[in-house]
Amino acid sequence: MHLLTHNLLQCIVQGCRTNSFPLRIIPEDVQEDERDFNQEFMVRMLPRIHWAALLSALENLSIQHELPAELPADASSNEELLQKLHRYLLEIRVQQGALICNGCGRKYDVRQSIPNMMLNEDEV
Amino acid sequence: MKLKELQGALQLCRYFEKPKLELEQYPTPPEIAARMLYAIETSYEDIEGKSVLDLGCGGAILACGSAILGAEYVLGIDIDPDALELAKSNIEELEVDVDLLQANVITTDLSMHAKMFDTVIMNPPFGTRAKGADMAFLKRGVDVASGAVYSLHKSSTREHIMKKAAEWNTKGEVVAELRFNIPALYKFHQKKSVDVEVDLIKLTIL
Repeated sequence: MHLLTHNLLQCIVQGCRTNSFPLRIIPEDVQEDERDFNQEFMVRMLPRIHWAALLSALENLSIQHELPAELPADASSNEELLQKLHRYLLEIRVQQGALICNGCGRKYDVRQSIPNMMLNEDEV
Repeated sequence: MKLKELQGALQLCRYFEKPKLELEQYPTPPEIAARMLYAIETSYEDIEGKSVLDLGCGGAILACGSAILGAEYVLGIDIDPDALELAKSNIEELEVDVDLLQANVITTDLSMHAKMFDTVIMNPPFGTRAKGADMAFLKRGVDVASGAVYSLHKSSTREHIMKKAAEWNTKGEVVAELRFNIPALYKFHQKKSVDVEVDLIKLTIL
């Protein structure tokens, strides 16, 4: 799971609405793979990224990031920032760990890099 | 990348050994996957440099093919852990970067904050066994796509899909007609294999 995928995930327990997003990451094994930076792509993704969820994910992974508290207005022309976002969103990967809902406490496992967002039968 | 190279790469993907009837797991044959992705890229430029979602990815052949064609971010979602296991091994075999997620496509909403995906590509359940599954997948795709959704459907459902497409504020069109050879995977299949007429549908988000 890259952090761009984490940016999409919220608790799916029925009726869990407060603090169901973002999910808190409990990392066990975090890896980083290098890949080519595509500036045009990052610029297009900027408005789709939930900034606060990204910041919280980086904090959960104890990554020193120096990102501002909010998406800067000039972000799309700031190549240095875009490169950083590329690394955070597409290169850092949670291989093993868990995701915890800050609302209801439900835990979702991440195994072999795959988050399991399925409910058990008794939860449906 | 030539069509033949893409086809050659996708031929390395393994299929389900034990497909699950209730999930209507009919794998996308590599020739069809390659032709479909190739057409989407060459005619509409909707893969290279894009974020791509494969809903009900199974062995992730469409997700892997998208990554091979240069998609920047690819996510495959499936409900079935065995399918994801297979997807994982295909991703490793093809050495591509694809994220996977185990989730129920029909009940999981990934569109709360943004339409994260430029392009959604899928071979959904045909909805023959689980009524309405095809349309539910399609709607999920529309919810989360900012550009277009490409999906395979039985040609017999074309009229219904076009009606829904308009209701969902998308422009629906058939971009290719295919013959989908479905081998006798399940016990209830009496013939060795059967050709099903399938449309590659494109829904453009308006």
